[in-house]
Amino acid sequence: MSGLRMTVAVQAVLGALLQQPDTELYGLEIVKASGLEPGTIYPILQRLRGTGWVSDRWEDPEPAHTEGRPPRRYYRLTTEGRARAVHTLQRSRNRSGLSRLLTPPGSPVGPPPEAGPA
Amino acid sequence: MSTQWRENGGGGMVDGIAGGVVGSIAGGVVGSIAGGIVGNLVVDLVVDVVGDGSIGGPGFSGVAVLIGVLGGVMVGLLVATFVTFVGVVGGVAIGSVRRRLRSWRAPSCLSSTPAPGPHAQSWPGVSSQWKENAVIGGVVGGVVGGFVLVWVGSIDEVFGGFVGGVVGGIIGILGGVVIVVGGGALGGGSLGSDIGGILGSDIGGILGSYAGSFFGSYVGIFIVGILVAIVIHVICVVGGVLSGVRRRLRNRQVPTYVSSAPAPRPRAQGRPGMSCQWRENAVMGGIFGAFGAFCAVVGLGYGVGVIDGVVGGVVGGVVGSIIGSIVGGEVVIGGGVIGGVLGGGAEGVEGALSGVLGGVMCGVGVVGVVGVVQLVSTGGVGQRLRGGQAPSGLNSAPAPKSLQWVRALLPGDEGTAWFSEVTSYLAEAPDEQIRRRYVRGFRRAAPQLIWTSWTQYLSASTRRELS
Repeated sequence: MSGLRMTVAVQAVLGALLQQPDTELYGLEIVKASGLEPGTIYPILQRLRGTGWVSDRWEDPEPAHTEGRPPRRYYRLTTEGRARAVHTLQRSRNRSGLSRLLTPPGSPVGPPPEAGPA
Repeated sequence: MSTQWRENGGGGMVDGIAGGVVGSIAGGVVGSIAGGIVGNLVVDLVVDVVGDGSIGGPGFSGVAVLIGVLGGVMVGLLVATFVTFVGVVGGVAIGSVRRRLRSWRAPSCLSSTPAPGPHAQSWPGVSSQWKENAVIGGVVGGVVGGFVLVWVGSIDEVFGGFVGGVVGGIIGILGGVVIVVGGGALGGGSLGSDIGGILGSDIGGILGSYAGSFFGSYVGIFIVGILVAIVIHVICVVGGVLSGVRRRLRNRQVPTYVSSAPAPRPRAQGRPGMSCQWRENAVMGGIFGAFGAFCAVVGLGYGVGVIDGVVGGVVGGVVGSIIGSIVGGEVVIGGGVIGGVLGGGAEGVEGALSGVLGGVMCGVGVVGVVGVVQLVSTGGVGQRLRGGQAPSGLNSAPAPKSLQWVRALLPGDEGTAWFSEVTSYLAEAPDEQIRRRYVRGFRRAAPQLIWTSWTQYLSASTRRELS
């Protein structure tokens, strides 16, 4: 698992990112989707980034300045991270049913296409 | 006009007007000073060379005209240079120093990259900036008053210069750098001239003052007004270009944001598209500067031709500036009406018209100077308008200092990146309560964050060394 402890909070963040796997989400969107606090999700996102599950990028300053706010930092699951997240959440659901609470209906959680070794 | 112009909803127009109207006050001030000082010079010359009551010959009138024109141009250029230098360079320097000081006070972090968001967000407010301007304005007013005092020399004009300096200082406390320069010099020149004429009690002095004021103002102001307009235009354009260059350079320094790279260094909030704005301001400033100079030629040039009208206009402008500092744009009406009443009381219809014109021009100039000072120091009057257009729910308050120690304890660029993201969260927090909750959350998670960041950082460093 690349040193990544799969806590409930980590699963919540993964579940939030999997809700729109093709869309980049910024911090507050992940906060809303996961129900966690910003102070909690930042270290998790940092760990996910360190293990290569998540990629990030800073928003272009121009639109941010037009809207009069600081630039956002956007996150999205990498291809590898997406497969692993799906696999991990599926396994957790099978194990405890916890992911039913964490993953909203209709999210693309299912068996990973190619679940490589963690 | 660009899209930025439209998005700003007229803020640029306000900036343009503000930037341009400085031509009005500068032209007016210069003309008044030229008229007043040259008048005094003519008085002294007449009294010393020709004697009381001996003036009026055609030959001497020509000399007076030449002296008036030359003196007006030279003094006008001097004052115009000083006004623009103090107003523009001083304002920029103050803003820059303040920003640097604020950045300097921030705790250093392990990264050498300066902290982005919070400093930009805590861009100095208008009120604190104005306090500094007022202090500097008072000093400059005193200096200008003293300059007039030493220059003019004789006891009556010393008194006039002293009064002018005091008036300039008071206006400076109310207004700002350029107002003080204008007010001090204006007060010193015209009051000195007036008081000199009255205390001297000789017909030669009065006639000399009339002649010097008349020719000095009509001819000297015209030339000086055009020069001032050109100088202001050049300054605006150069300033705009330099701002654009700096902006491009800054943007070029921004790295590609991958991984833990810090957030793009944001500019001050509420100042979107500053370089474009400056270019537009430069254009509009040039247009309105030329217009202002024309107004100065027509209005103040006519006004200073009648000395009582000048007094009325100056007093109207001073009172109007006080009114304007309280109620805003009504300064034009206030200055005009009061100037007209005072001028009218002294010289009938002609004096009233002169006073109204002088007062209106002084009032417009004061409004313009206010706008210019704000334009230079805080990004313009339009910033207020643009601030009102900010999307609802945005919180422009900077990240609290209680989180900065966390940034200092994070490794490498991680602290800067973390702080930028914290700033982003807090800026978009819907209300103050949630914002405080976020801050508490970040503070609670700090130990874990520091641990995680350092373990990742060290393991990454070890991997790099091994490979």
